[in-house]
Amino acid sequence: MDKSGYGKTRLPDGRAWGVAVHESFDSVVAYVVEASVKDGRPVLHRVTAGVHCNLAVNPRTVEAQVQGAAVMGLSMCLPGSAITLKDGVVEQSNFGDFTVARITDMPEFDVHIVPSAEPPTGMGEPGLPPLAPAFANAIAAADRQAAAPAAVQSDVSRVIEYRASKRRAAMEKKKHVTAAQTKNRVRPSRRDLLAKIALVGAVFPFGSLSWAASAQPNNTNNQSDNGSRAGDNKMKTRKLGKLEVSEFGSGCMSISANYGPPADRSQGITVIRSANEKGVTFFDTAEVYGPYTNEDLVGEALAPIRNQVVIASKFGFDLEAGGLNSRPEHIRKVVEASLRRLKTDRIDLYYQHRVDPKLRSKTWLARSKI
Amino acid sequence: MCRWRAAASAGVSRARATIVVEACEIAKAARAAGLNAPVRTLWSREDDMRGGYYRPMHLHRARIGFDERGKVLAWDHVIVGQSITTGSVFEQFQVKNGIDATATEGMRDPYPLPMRLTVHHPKLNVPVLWWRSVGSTHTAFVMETLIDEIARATKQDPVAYRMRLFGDKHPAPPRRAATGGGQERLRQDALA
Repeated sequence: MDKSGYGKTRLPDGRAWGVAVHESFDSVVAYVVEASVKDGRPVLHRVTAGVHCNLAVNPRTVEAQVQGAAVMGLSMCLPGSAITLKDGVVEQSNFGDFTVARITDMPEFDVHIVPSAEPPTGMGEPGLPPLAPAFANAIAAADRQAAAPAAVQSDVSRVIEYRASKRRAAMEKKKHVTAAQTKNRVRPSRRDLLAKIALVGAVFPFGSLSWAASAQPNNTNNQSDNGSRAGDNKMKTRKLGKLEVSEFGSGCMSISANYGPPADRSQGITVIRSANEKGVTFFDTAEVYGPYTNEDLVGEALAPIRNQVVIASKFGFDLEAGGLNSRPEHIRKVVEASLRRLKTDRIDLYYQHRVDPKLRSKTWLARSKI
Repeated sequence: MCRWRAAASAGVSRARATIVVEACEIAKAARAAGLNAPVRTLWSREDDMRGGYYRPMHLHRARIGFDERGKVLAWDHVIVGQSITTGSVFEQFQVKNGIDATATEGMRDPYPLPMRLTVHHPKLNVPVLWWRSVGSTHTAFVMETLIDEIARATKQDPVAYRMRLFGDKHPAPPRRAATGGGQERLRQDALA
């Protein structure tokens, strides 16, 4: 509010202020905008955003998210940005008949983040909802200022009326579709079936799928891979204490667990080995991934190249009794099991996966020499 | 008494999973037919716009009673729109008493208003899915333009009027950084 000049700055003739504030995903975004009507078209000139998302971990990301969301919000306000149905078919097909905001529509933009040290809240979507009402409120105000009685109908109400009538018309069309075309569905039945699958499929993230998919180019891409290894794109390394590891490490968890069903075992092994062929020498796993199965997979994949790679694994859970356990005797027990699964005589980097609140840190640090 | 109708626009909901699943199905069919080669599946933009999911169209109608100072005495609000989650795996979490929470999110929270909210979910053949920020795409538009209408009808500055609405519930200094002082204060901070 303060930053926008609202209530203090006098705007050029024809421009007006508009304000809206909305909370979503536990964050609040407020917009103060300047807008006008030019040749019957609403124009957005300037946007000042006030954002409250508690601690902004990366303020530039917050700024980018708000800008992107606002452009999307602007798009939905522009004439021609509605999807309409005729006889059960979507009338629009491409950008020729469907409007999105273009670079010439882009307003000046300032994002101000309210300082806070509280735990961060959502900062992807909250920038979208308040843009359209702020813009509409500004257009309504601009229209009142123009004060040409009866001559100019409120543009915002025109926009709203336009949308409402389109909506009503579309709604009637849809009703018509429902009533008259029970056989002739809106979509081809092929997609209908696939859509149902997609809805179920949507709850399974694609982590393991993408791992598995990346294993495929084994035959087709080898040449270019070799080329890049031989060239300047050599993997850099860095020091982790006494260890030297590739700058890119491979977190192997999602091959076996936590992102949908486990990937095919042989594919998972191929992925890990091709990562190594591409220069990765640092592989991360844990007892709890699977549980157990990821260490087993990583062990098998790395056994032939054990001396060329660095393996990290983790302890800290009691997978039999449940809960956390970092007692020295427990660590000694589970590290043996991890070594067996990893098919090796050493774990190069062994992390405590979770702090065990029952233990004072000195207790196990003092005795955890493996 | 103020009577007002407003509606937010429909847009294309992007459901990329659809094409991923389709690609997998086609690849499997190709393999079953003896083709041992990668299969590329491509949806043109025309396919995407005509065969995707859509943000459900919503119609709002509100009848609002307020006094000359803008104090809201009664608010009767009706929302009509297809349910997004009914029939999906999310139904059990989102639909209560026949009302899809994704259609009403953002309605009640912003201001402490005495509101009666009625929701109708017509059953239509249009495949619907969420758009970025889901229900807030239409509830924020409707609520924030209506709040402006009340401010205008009672000749008040729209910002001062909102601050007063927040302040009625949480009389906190508007510009203080929030230290866990409730969402109304967060809103005031964002607006300040």
